[in-house]
This record gives sequence, C-alpha cells and structure tokens, in this order.
Amino acid sequence: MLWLCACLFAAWFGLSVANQFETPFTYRLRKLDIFGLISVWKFFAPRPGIHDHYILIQDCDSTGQLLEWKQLLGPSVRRPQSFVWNPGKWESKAIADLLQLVAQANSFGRLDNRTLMLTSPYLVILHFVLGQPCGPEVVARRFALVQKTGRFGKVELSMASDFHPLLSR
Amino acid sequence: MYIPQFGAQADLAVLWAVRICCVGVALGSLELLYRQRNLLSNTGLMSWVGLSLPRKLEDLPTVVRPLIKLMAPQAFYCVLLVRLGAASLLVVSAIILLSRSTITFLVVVILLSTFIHHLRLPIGTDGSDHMNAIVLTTGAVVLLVNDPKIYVLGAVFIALQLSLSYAVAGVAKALSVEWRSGRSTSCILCTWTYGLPPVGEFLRSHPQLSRSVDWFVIAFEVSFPFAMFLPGRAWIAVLITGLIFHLFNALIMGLNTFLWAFASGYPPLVFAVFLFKYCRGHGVHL
Repeated sequence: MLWLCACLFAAWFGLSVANQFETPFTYRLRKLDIFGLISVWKFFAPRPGIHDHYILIQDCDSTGQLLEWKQLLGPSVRRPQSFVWNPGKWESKAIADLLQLVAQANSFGRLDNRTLMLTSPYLVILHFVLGQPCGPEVVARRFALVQKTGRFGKVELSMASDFHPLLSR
Repeated sequence: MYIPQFGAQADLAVLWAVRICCVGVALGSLELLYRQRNLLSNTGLMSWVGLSLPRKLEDLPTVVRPLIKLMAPQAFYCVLLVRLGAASLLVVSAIILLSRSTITFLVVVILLSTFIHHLRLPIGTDGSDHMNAIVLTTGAVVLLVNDPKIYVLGAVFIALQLSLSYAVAGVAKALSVEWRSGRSTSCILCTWTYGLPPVGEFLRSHPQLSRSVDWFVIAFEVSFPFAMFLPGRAWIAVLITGLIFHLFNALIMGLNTFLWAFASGYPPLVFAVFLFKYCRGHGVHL
C-alpha cells in the first residue's frame, strides 16, 4: 500500500508540474481532469485581470420601440465584511469566466454574431438574460457585454447580441 | 530507516490541513446557498439548464454518471447543505472529540461533494476550489489507508503542491511584461471585481510603491518553495509573510476562501520543513 500511495502521489505531482505548461498533452490532460485535481497555478499572470465586466440589456416593445439600456449584472460592491463573507464574488467570477470564453470563441475563429450565437458561453448568457423579469410590453431583448478599466477608465464593448424574442410573449 | 514519531505529527498536520480547508468549504457552500436564487436557480447565471450540463455530462465516464442526479437544482441544494454540515462538523472536531472513523467518513462525504461541485460549476470557481480538492483528496486517501507512513507521504505531498502553486504563480508573473513593469497590482486593485479602486488609485499615483509591491509579490512567490532550505528559523518568517499575504488578498481583493484554502497547506508545510531539517541534520531518510 505504501508503494501504491507513493506512486499515486508522485504521478499526481508529476502531472501537476506538467500541467503548468501549454502543450498538446496538457490540453488532453485537462479534458480528462473532470474533478479539478490538476490545477494551473498562474494566478493573475501572465495578464492580470484589469477589467470589471458588465452585462447590459436592452428591451424592445411590441411597437418596435427600443427601451433604455440598463445594467443587469456587474461586479459586486465590496463591503467591509467582504474579507470574511463575500457571496458576490461568485457572480463576478462567473461573468469574468463567461466573457473570457466568449472572447476566446470569438478570437480563435473570428466568428460573426450568428455563429457566435451557437457557442456555449453565448447560450449560457442568453438563457440568463431571457430569464430575467421584464415589463408586459416587452417582446424581445438583447444584451451587451461590456468591460471597464478601473473606476474612471475607458468602457469597451466586448460584444452586442441580436434581439432575441421572449418566447413566453 | 523510518522514524515512527513523524507518523503522528504528519497525521496531525493532515488533519489540521483538512480542518482549515473545511472553513473555506463551509464558507463557500454558505455563500452559494445564500445566492442560490441569483446563481443556481433555473434563471440564475449558473443555472443547471443554462449551462447545458445535463447534455454535457452524458459524455462523462459511466462510473461518474450517477452523480449527475445530484446536480439538478433541488438535489444540488441538498448537496450544498450536506457539504456545509459535514465541513462545519469537521471544523468543530478541533474542540469536540470525533472518532477517527467519523472524521474519515466526513472527509469522504466532503470530497464527493467537492467532485459534484466541480462538475456542476464549470464557471465561477477559482484556485481555492482546486487547492481544496487537493487537500481533501489527499486527506481522504491517507485517512482511509490509515498508515503512519502514508500520513507522512500525504503531508509532504500537500506541502509540495502548495510550494508548486506559489512557484508557478511567481514564475508566470516574472515572465510577464505587465508584472515586471510594476503596474499590475495597481491595475488589478483599480477594479471592483478583485480590488478596491481607492487603494488601486493610490498605488497608481505612487509608481515606485506600485513597482515595489509587484516585485515583492514576484519575489515572495518565486522564493516560497526555498523557504525550507533557509537556515535556522528564517523559514518561519516566510510562512508568516505568506499568511499575511493571503490576509491582505482577502481584505483588499475579497479572496476570502483563498485565505483558508492556502492556509490549509501550511500545517503540512511546517511538518515537511521539520522533517527535511531533521533528516538533513541526522542523515536519515524515510
């Protein structure tokens, strides 16, 4: 049992070291690692996360009139107790992950909006956006992914979707 | 030659690692339950249907497929509740005596919930979840085998993983132009997601200080694995610096669960340092 465990821990550590490099082997390894036991430890490197991410939505009513853009989701406001209790970080991290996935999908294949609609991060955001409450006059909704650098930094549009009908209407 | 007394110390180191890690596990579970409506419900950002997980998880190995049933909304709330309860019990096991078999059972339950958690949440999780998975899996293996020699192996393994995490993070930063330029920390702290903009702007208006902070982070992370080779008690200063570093990350960056996940690696690291120094001093090998 000693040797079995020693081999297990040695192999696990060896794979953990190998996983820090970007190689075809590690891409396969990450697909096999379904329980997240082999991590990549490059926190905030090589490119530090310097943006806040926002999801904005715009509704369209039955007369075809466009309503104001409004913020659906953004980074949570930090409170003094956040160093102990910070539930808002889950949403912030999820948005950041989704935006990164959308950006990856977009940059690798230079996708147009129609093709991008078929990617999973787009569908996740769309499902979330369409599930949010809206007024009775609203028949369609679109969303935009926006990133902002710092408090007074520039605002960049990452992507804007087409209008999607609200099926319940 | 095997040194029997190290088995008991390694046992203690692993148990404390698991307990500290469970503080973060309980906290994370409670946060998710608190935000379940915004995150996990059918209209949440990480909804079961929205992530198309039922379809994706069908491709998983047959052995894992039964876990899928535990990921639908109501079942996953139950998983989080069980995870919260088991982790809380393990934390209080520091003051309330629990039998070895109960502790082992609780660790296995939390580990299973960690696997479900990882499958259910492909987005929104972070490095602290990975560190928790490593500590809990190692803890479960050594507790199930229950052999002093395996405790030593487990403790050393966690210490190595912790050292690897710092070293990789440090080297990746050292290779990054942004980090070397000394603007990274100030830029990160200028966001609400991972910073406090007033602190970030203060750093930005003091470039020398900002550069010093960036280079301190790089130097600390890269040199962390070499702490055990430092003479005398100097390594204690490195460990205390590490804990203060995580405390600041929690305070300023809001990385509350990182504090517990990475602090959980410290008892095994302390054990590994003592073991290393003992072996070097006495010419002993395990």
